[in-house]
Amino acid sequence: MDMLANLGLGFSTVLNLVDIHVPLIGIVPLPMNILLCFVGCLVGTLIGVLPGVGPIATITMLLPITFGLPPTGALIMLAGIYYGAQYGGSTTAILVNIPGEATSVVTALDGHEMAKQGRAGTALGISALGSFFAGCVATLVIAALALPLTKMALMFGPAEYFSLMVMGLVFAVVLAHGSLSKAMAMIFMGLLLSTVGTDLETGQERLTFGFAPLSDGIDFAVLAMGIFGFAEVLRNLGVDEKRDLVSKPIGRLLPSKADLKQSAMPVMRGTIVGAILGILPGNGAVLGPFASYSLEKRLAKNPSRFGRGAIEGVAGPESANNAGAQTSFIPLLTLGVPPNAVMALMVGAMTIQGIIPGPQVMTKNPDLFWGMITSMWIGNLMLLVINLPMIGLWVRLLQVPYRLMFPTILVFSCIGIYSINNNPMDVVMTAGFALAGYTFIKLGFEPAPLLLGFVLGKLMEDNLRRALLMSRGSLLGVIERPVSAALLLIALVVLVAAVLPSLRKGRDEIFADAD
Amino acid sequence: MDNRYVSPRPAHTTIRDPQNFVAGLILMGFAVVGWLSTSDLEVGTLFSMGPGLLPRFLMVCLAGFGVFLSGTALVQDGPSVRLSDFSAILAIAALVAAAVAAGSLMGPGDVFGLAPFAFVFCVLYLALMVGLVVLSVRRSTWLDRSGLRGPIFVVGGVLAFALTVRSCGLFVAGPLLALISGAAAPDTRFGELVIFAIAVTLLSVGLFKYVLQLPMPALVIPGVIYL
Repeated sequence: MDMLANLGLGFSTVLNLVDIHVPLIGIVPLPMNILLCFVGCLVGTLIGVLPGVGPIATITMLLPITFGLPPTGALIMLAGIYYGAQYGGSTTAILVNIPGEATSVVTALDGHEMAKQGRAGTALGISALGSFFAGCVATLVIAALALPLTKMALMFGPAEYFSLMVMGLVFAVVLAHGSLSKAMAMIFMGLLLSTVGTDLETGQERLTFGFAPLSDGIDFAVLAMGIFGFAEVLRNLGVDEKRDLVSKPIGRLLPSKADLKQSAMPVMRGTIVGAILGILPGNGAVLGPFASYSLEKRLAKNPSRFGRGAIEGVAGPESANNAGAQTSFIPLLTLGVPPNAVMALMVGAMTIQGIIPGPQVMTKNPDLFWGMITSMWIGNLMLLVINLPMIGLWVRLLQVPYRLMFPTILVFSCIGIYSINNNPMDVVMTAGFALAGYTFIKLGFEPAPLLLGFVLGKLMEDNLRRALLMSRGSLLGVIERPVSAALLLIALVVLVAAVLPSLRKGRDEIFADAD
Repeated sequence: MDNRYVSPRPAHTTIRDPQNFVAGLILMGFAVVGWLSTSDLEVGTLFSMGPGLLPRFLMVCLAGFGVFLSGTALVQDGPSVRLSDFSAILAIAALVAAAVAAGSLMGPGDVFGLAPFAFVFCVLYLALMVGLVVLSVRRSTWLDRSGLRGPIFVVGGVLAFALTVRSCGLFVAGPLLALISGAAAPDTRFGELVIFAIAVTLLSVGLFKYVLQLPMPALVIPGVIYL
């Protein structure tokens, strides 16, 4: 079995011992990658548990600490940070009813109710167990799909890539939560920002307004930190925070037999729903928990229990969330096309490490590729092992007032931004993007599509120009190739369908179930 | 989503969704400014794309979305806009404009290592922050209602960090950032913040400079010390 051999390679990468010089002790062989995964999960949870800080903000904030690491270690750590942040977000949703991001909105519904009934421990426990199960399945799905998809991707030319990314953006718009036209406007804004800087072919400056620091283009980390990290701080400062921290005891962490029996099927269904939606080129992972919640509600014998602390309403969506979070790595790892803003951050991190995401990663850096996949499974295991015993610490952390939390976030983020190029101008530009991001949020725009558009914009223009070059400049070259044409056709059909009122109603219903 | 609560509005108002209306205007503004600034770029044809083609195509799309959003704002109800949400960015934009105007009058030559307009901007910004601090000491409720407090102090702290990190080091830039931005919270306490600023700085210097070994100065006193 190829798959087993590959997973074996992955495990050997993750478990690889590295001789490290430890002060006072001397040279000690340490499993560096496992340690990095552990640290990643831990700090990811630590930041992710802070109210109002979602996974995107967490990853941007912690991105700089991975700069000094070797690529494999850095990506394993980032993946750990991502899962940690997700889990931290669920913890906050259950305990304080402040969902850090769209996906934990669903968890907060029944999870927080359970916490109010003194069953917070069970809710946290089942969400950890469900996530672990979903993580195991999703790891296998990734391992199974990686080879065939990569083979397919190797046949792709620039035209196909361009069309694939167009399709990805269309899916991202259609699956987005909220206004279609505003999501699209944000994507176009992101695409436009990606064109700022020196044109690669002619060397002419575009949209720099004669401002020298812009001639290299906008740094990805600066943009992400500005519109996610800092803008979130500004937004949270404006809200009168009501932390609904439960005063009831957490209760037992391990779910009882009856709880397990009740949540077994929701976990299974959630995993399947989440895994499938996560693979979609748009932001399917966000839809997973919502879809799972409305599925469970419809299947339940007594739907009125939902919203009043039904354990299925935690188990299903949490599994779907984790499965989707993981399978959304598939488009990134095999095709090199990020399906959502978190994966766009991963693209940024990979580029900083000198790795160009795409099908060649698997052939050129098999240890990195498979190491990352196995580290996902290990990361899930670690979350289960470290987070449940440490729940008391997370609860204590939730009591830190925001007036002390945000200066800490700002200090760490500013040092991080400065460390990328040792350039104070980057820090100033981050503040500028923060103001812009804050204004966009206040105007009802979601910043996530902007980041996705920004990352895809560079890839798209590049591929489009190459495609045009190959077809001697004719735009027909993009449409003539069958695969490319098919992808564009799918994009068009999906877009038209999304604008049709009947389908929109269906989409809104899935989200509305959670309201 | 939390920004889109719809309030019932009398039917006779022309703009029924002010939020989308403003959003649309801003998109159109971006498109127009972008269009003007790319006027010197060659657009080329689809057969040989010039550097200006894609940006201009995108700007047309943005303008289209802007028109659409503003247009639908006339027929669909939506949330209103509050000036306090945008007061800070408007104030900062005004300072930038004033600084650019003053900077162009001052002639070339750097002031304290900053371009003239940047220097003027910093002075104006400092004055603005001092004004806000005076208001907050007087416990003015206007300050919290104006929406200026959060963004102005956070951005001010970040600017102070950017100005000092290279010339004075982290031991100066870190506490400055924490102290200035800390004033952004309405319930801030000075004593607590000072202790906290020092602790955070020690922690971050330890982490970034010593554990992660990122090359950045911890403390610089020109001619005396460089850590």
